[in-house]
Amino acid sequence: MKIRNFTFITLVFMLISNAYAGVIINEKGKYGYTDEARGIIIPCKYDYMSDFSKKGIAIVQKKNKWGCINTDGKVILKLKYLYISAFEDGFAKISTKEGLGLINDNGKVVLPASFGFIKPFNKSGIAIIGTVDGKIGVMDTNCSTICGCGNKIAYYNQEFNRIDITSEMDTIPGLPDYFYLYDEEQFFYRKNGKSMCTRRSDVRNSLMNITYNCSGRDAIPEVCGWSDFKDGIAIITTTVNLIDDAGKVGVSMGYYNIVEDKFIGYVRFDKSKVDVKNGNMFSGTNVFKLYEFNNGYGCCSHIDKTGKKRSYIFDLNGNIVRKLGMAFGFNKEGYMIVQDSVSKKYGVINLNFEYVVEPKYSDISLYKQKAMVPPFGKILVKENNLWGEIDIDGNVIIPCKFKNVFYSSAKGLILYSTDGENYGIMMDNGKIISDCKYKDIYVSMSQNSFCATTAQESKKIRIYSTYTGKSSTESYDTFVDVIEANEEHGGQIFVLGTKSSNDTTYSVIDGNMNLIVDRLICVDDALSIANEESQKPFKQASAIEIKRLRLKKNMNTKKYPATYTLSEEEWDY
Amino acid sequence: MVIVLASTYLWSKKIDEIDYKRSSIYSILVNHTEQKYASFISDVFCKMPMPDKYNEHNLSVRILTTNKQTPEDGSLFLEQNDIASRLVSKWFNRNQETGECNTELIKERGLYNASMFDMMFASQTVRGNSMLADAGEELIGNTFVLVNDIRYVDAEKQAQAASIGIAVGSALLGAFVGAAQNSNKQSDNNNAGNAISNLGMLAANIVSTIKGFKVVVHTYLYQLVWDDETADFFYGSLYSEKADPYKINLFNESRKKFKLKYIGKQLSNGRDISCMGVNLDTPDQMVMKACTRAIDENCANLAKNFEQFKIKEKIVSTSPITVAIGKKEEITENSKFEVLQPVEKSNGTISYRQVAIIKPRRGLIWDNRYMAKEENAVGSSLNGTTFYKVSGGKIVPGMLVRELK
Repeated sequence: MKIRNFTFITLVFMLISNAYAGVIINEKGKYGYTDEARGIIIPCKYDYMSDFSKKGIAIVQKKNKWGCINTDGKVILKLKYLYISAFEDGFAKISTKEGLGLINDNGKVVLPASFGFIKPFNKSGIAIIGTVDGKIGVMDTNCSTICGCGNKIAYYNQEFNRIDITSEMDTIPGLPDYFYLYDEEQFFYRKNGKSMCTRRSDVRNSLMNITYNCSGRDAIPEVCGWSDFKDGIAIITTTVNLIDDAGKVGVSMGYYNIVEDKFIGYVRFDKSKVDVKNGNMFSGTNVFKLYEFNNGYGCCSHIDKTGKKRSYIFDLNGNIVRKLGMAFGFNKEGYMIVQDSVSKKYGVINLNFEYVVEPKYSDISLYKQKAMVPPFGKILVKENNLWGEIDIDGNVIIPCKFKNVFYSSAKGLILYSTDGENYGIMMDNGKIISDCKYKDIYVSMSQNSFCATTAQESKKIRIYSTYTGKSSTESYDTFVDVIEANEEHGGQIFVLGTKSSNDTTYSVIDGNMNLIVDRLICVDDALSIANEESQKPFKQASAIEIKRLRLKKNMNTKKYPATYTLSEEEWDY
Repeated sequence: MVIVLASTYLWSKKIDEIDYKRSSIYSILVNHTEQKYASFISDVFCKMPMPDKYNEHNLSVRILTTNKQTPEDGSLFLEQNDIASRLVSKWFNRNQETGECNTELIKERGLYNASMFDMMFASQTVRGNSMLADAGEELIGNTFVLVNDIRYVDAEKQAQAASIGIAVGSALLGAFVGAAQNSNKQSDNNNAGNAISNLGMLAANIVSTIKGFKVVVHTYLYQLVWDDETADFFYGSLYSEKADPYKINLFNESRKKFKLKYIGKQLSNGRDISCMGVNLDTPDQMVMKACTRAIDENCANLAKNFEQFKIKEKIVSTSPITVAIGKKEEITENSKFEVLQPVEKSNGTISYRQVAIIKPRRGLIWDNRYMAKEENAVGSSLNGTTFYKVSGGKIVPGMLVRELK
């Protein structure tokens, strides 16, 4: 009986093995390997065997130890690991008591097992790795650690030309030329494809090695701000404390080029007590302002105790290239508002320091505070106490006849006021869209809508869509956001807030003023619904559908006492 | 051999077409607001994945709060808020304001051919009635409520409670120790389990670690009652595909006719949860892991102890015998499963016949617990658990397995 069974089993396996090439398992649950041409190559002796990779390597387990073999059965990676994961993107994780590492699909250890975690490679070939104690770094597919290990990641967001800081490791889009990992102590950046590392204390140390032309006084730098990357470098605003012979501290202020490892200092004060905020330095009645580098120039403006204004323009090497009366730094387009020191009138100069708008205006706005996206080539100017608009060649677009004007957040729209109290909207070519009847206006980026507060509803706002010509039936307390949408939704979807005694709830309506959902507790839910709906075909939701959507979204946040009988309003069914 | 193989192929193809309908769950959290990390726990609860192998049948209210020191079973809440009637409403997508109902969800979860179902539903033939009955028994009647009382384990208080426990008497302490060591049997039917109702945390004997986060979860299981009387009343008096003010009022007045039946409870054993694979910068990830694992563990043990809550899963391959269940379902080398062959009866309903017994193969138990892959747990890269046959006849893919006690 036994012999017959054995023969039968063998026959079955022969049949199977002759028809099959790959990993096999016997009746005892042991794994082996058979090849179509050669028969059983590796006898069934492993507790586990994965499929072979394209390079002919399989992961095997025997007696709770893991390693790798090739298709000849030869051990390529000794069976000594606690675990080896499946191959993914050409790598598999190895696990030891010390931590995790990586092997490639040749079975070779490419990253020693010492890490706490290793995330999968993203599309740009970057993987986030972490030490056992939770610090984070970045690695490329050569498994060289590019940067590590802080506890946050900052990277250069090319789309918005800014540095973003995130703890969402998987959102890093790639490895642009300039970025840095950021924590309290250090940061990293790349220059010409090479990774560099700098610690804040190293910056301090290198600054400390600089000898200032301050009668030989020691200088101790303090970093007080980090700018975005401009012209390929990041500028750190520093104050340099000067210690005189009596041990008292003075301050100098300037930039630090982290790529060139160079301090661009220029303004020095003795024995000043300063307060540094947002790039401004206050020293008694002296005020200093550092502007970001743009187009290769930085700018420091200074108003001294007598009220005298002076500005210094610096190049990337820290050389003073110009001294002016009062200047406000070059903008991205290469223009700078300046005030003539004699006439006190404002004009505009270009990168050649030539006037493109003669200094004849009592005030000027190239980028006023409320204007987030000033139109290039147009400038608001004040003459005889009234505002108008000119172009970069000095041609009048809007005559100076308004009490107040400023650029809105939407390109091409200006908010104007005739009495200084109520505002209306006009195009930047002077065409009036709305009369001056609103206490406050917020204009959307798309130019197709605005929300406004009338004098009667002084604390409430309504949405007006210039695209559909409709306004909201309800009034709200806050404007959160507007999202571009398809025409079926009237071109836009709005997220608005309503305050109550306890908190704020959020509503989502479209450009046709159809309610999509209301009374949401979490603003992120409102924004995500707005984004989801924006390109969907419009479907008029019933009251029950609106209610269920709201309840579904609020589910995560709302809590109810276990002893209560709830009203029907809280139930979706 | 060829003939045998051919017939086996045909047989397995037919069985493959018979799908298994999952039970549905409404899962609630009882959050002890006075406890540490209560807000963390409530934040992650609604984001927790539904226990595997079940359909989600949640209502809009998921989180209850209490300031009681002892576990809360939620029974008062379920009764006062007519939960049974709301679960039925959800099955029929009932519009609260118009009373309109439909059977779309039943068709979807029942895996019925939609047009066939409509026809049978309308015609009320024998087969149609069977489909309704089948839908009732296998779907609506298999709706459960899980009330999960989750509390963070504070090591300091644990030590204090331990000293109180010792003072009570060694016999009682012995019962606790026995219960702690054999937590699979901590069901309502176990006297030791009943005895620990006030000192439940003692039974776990948990010590909080620096990077660990431990919870104790009491899970209370209720089942929706869907008998002939309830079904007849609903279909006869309340179901309407059009707006009907009369039926709206009648439904609201008849909510108490729908009932939930208490089945039992389960206490998690609070074993250590590794922080491997967890980003310690985001503590809610660890909270999510600890809570999800504890609830999964309770569901698995409830399924073992209560027939009506058992899951069935398909055999995906027979060379070797592989089923997509694993450590999440609390499988060990000692687990035993029956292999079931679905049999279609003449009236159109399905019954199951045992054909074999199988056991998991040592070292080949899939670790499918939450975040097992990130933890690089042994067995996490498998795609199922490998079994071997202990006794019985031929097994083919498509047959179902169900754990034996």
